[in-house]
Amino acid sequence: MDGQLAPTRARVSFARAAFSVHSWLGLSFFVLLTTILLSGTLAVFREEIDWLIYPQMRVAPGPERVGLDRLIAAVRDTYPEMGLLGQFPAEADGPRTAIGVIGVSPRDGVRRVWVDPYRGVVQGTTPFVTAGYLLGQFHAYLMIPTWGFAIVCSLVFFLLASLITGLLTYRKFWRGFFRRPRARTLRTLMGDLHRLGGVWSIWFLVILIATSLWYFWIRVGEPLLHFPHAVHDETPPVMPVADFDRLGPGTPKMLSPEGLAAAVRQAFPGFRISYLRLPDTHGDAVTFGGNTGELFGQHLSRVYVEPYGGRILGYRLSRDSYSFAWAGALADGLHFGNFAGLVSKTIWFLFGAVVTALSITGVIVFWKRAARKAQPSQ
Amino acid sequence: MGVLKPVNLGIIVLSLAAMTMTIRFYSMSLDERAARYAAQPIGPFAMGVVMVAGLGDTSDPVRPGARAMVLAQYCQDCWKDIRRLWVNIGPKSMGSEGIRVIGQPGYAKAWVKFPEKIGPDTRLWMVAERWNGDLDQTSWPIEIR
Repeated sequence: MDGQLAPTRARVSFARAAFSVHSWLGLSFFVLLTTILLSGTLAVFREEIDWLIYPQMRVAPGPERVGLDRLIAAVRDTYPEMGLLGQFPAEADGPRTAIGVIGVSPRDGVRRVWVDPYRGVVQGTTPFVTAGYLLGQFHAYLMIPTWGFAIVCSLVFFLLASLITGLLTYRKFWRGFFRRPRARTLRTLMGDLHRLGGVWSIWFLVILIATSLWYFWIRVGEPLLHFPHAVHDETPPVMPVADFDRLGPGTPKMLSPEGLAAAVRQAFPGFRISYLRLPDTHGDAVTFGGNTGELFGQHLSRVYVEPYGGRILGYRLSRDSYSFAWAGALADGLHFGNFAGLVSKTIWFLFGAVVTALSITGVIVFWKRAARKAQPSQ
Repeated sequence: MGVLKPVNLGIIVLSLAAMTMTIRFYSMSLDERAARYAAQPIGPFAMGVVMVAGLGDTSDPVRPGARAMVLAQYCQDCWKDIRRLWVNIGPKSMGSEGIRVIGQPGYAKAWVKFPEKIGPDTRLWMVAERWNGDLDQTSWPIEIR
């Protein structure tokens, strides 16, 4: 008889141990974890939040879009003192959204300049740190340089352990998908909701954990733990020295951005330009970023063009080799659910809310249990 | 949460402080603390300089032994006419051995380092190369404010 009870006792002890670990994980960093989960849930709609707050970002769609020349000229003519930083987008995030260009104003600091892509008119500026941008950055690294990434990304191991111990605790969890929550007491209701939300969000948690492990690798592993670099920074090619020295003695004429874009499209039919990067010095290439229709990696492909004659100096197309950079783009798309517009974002938002609620319901269950144990027995 | 409760809360407080600093960093005007050097002729061009200790740094940029960011102010449409541009700080120009200015108009920058002693002969030098190879130079006196 004792022999038959022993395996049952061992199973119960194991489940109890898993429950203890699960509880400890959920409680230890409850505030931090809930903050990260909540900010991430809201950050799914960070672009939409900014669109609602800032009227400068909104446009009425027109029959066609203006070219790059007109977009750049509009910014330069409206704000001649502003220095443009980094990439100049050739596309907006949506058909009713203006193109946002980052610039440095001597008077106002770093700003985003919003240009109507259908009419080529500047609509105004917003702060660089918009509400949606702040939300996304807060979620990514709590605004704490370097160590913020370590703090946030390390929580993936808590999440992974919570998922595993949760499934070990909830025996035969596969039977729980359609179990109706009981409203007997608050603790019972929260416990049932916790289990119900948990089983339905297993797939979502797996995606979050997998993408967060990627972020841990590149944000913590590579800079702080000397992991091998998954993605290497690419130095854009420059004009051959002999060709550069041949320019002059008069000022050489640079082709217009639209003219250079035409050279790119001629060399790579079907290449959809999503941004360009102007040269920092004479002799540098103009970089055109975009894609040729591959899934994810909207900005991963690059073509480098010599600005005086339109010659292609080099290129890297993501369709030729799905590198770790593509994996990074995949992780970004799957982590925030922005691969299928509002549909995927809404699903990700809902399940993000469920996962956030798991953290809260778990703590409520623990508090109620602890309060009940603390009551004197009658 | 036990002993980890203050850790949780401490991280959140640190994050809020960092958030405030970040918002301030990106919205600060250069006018507040920049050293300005008025545009003056350099060959056929007219160039000026704005100098700051760094983006978001409220320190006075002109300090002995300190680094500063030089932002070259191009005359209108003359970025394309200046093949290369260099700056340096010291008693004499370093010519094309100076520090190369990199960037599009509006954010063309170079990091310079002040000598340990800033004297009456310490100047900010700028050298511009035209496409025919000719070099033009100008300079501004450095004064500690």
